[in-house]
Amino acid sequence: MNNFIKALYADLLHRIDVVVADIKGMMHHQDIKDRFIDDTLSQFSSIRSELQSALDSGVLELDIFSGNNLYRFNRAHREFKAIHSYRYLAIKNYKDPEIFFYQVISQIYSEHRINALPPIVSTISNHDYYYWAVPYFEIIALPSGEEHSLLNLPDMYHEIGHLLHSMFGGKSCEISAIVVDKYFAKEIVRIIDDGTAMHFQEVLELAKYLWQESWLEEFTCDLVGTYMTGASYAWTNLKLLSTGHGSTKIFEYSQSHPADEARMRIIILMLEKLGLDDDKKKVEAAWQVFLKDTEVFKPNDYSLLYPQKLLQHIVEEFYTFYQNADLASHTELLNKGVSSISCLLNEAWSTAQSNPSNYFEYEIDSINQLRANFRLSRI
Amino acid sequence: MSDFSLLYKKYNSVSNLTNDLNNSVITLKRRRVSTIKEYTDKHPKLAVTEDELTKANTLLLVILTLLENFYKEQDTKNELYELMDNALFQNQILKNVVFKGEIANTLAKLKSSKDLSEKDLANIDKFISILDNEAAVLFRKLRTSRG
Repeated sequence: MNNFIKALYADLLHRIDVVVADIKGMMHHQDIKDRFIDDTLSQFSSIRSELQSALDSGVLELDIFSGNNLYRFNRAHREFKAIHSYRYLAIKNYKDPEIFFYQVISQIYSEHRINALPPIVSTISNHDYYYWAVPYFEIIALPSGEEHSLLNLPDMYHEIGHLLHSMFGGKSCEISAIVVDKYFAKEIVRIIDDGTAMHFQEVLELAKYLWQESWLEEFTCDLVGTYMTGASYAWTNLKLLSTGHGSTKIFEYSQSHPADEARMRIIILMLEKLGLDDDKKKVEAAWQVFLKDTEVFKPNDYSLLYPQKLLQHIVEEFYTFYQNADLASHTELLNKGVSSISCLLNEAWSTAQSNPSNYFEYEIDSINQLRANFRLSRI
Repeated sequence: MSDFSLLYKKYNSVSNLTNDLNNSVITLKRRRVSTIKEYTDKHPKLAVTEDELTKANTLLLVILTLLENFYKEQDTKNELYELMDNALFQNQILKNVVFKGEIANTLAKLKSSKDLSEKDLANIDKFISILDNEAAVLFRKLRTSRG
C-alpha cells in the first residue's frame, strides 16, 4: 500500500510540474501577467511543497500513516483539480472577450470607487451555468459569447457583490443577520404557542438556517446590482426569472437562493431607496402583471419566510453601509451626468423595450463604442 | 447568481476541517514513532517539535469540542451542520453511542493534557475518513452545479 500511495504522490507532483511548465512557457496578456499568474503558480507551488515535504519526512514509508497519507493526497488532488479546472482554464482561455471584459470590470470598479483589484472575467461558463463567481479563484465566469450582449451584464454586478461581501466580511448585513435570527426565533415560539408548530416549525427552522447560510448574502448581491445599476438590474432579474424559472416557480427557494418573488421585492425596495421613482413604477407595473398569473401558486407558509420588514431592514443597513464606504450608486453617476457602464446598461434596457426592432443595431454600435474607448478592434 | 459559490464555501469549510484534523493526527503519530530508534535512524525528519505538538493538540481539542457540542445540540451555526445529509456521518458518528462515548473520553484526555492512545487516534481517523468522504461529495457536486 505504501508504494501505491507513493506512486499517487509522484504522479500528482509530475502533473503539477507539467502545468507549471506550461504556464511559465506561455505569453501572458499584461492584465493577468503579474498578479493572476503569480498567484496561480503560488497555489500550485503550495500543493507541491506539501506533498514533497510529506515524501521527505518519511511518513510515506510507514503503515501507521497509510490512511492519513491518503486523506492528504485526496485533498491535494482536489485542490489541484480546482485550480486546474478554473484558474488554469481561465489562463489558457484568456483571449479577446476576456481582454474586453477586464476593461469593462476595471471601469466598473473605478466608476463605483471599489478600492480593490478587479477579478479576471472569463468566458469559461455557458448559458446553463450562467454567471458565477468564487472569491478564492478571483474569477467571475460568464457564458461564452457574452461579449456580444448587454442585457445580461447587470448580473455581473451581482457577482461583484459576492466579491464585495467577502471583502467586507459580511459587514453590510451584520445587524440584519441578528434581526433575521431573532425574527425566526420569535416566530417559532409563536407557532408553538398557537399550536401550529406541526405545520410550520420544520419550514421555519430550515428558513432560519438558509437565511444565514446563503440567502442574506444573495439578497445583498441583488442590492449591489440594484445600487450600482438601478432599474437595469431589475429588468435583467425579471428576464432571468421569467425565462429561467417560469412564472410558477417564483415562490420556490433553494439551499443557495431565496425565492425569486422576495428577490424582486428587495430590488424594488432598493429602487425606491435610490429615489428612482419612475423606474420603480415601470418595473413594478411589469412585475405586478407577472405576479397576477402566479398568485394562485403561492404556498401557505410563504408569507412567514420573507416579511417585508426584514427586507426593508436589510435595504436600510446595506444602503447606509455602502454610502459610508463611499461606494458610488447608480443615482450618483446619473446625477453627475457622466457616461458610465451602468448608464449604458439602463439605456440598453430602455432601447430594447422602446425600439426592439432596432435593438440589434444599437447593441452592436454600443459595444463597438465601448471597444473603441478601450482601444480594441470592432466586433 | 450561483450555486457554485455556496458549494465552494461548504467544500472549503469541510476540507479545511479535514486537513486540520488529519495534520494534527499525523503530528501525534509522528511523535509516537519518533521515540522508536529503528524509525528515527532511517527517517530523522519524522521528529516533531514541542510547538507542533501543542498546535496539534489545540486543534484536536477545538474540533472535537465542535463534535461534542454537535452531539448536545445540532445547531445550524456549528461547522459540522454541513454534514447532516451525509449518511456515514449520521450512522457512524451521530447515532453511534459507543463512538460518542469514546470521543468524550478522548476529549477529556485532551483537556487534561494526557497523551492519546492508539484507539483514540483510530477513532479520530474514522472521523477524518467521513469528513474526507463529505469533502469528496461536495467537490463532485461543484462540477455539476455551476450557474
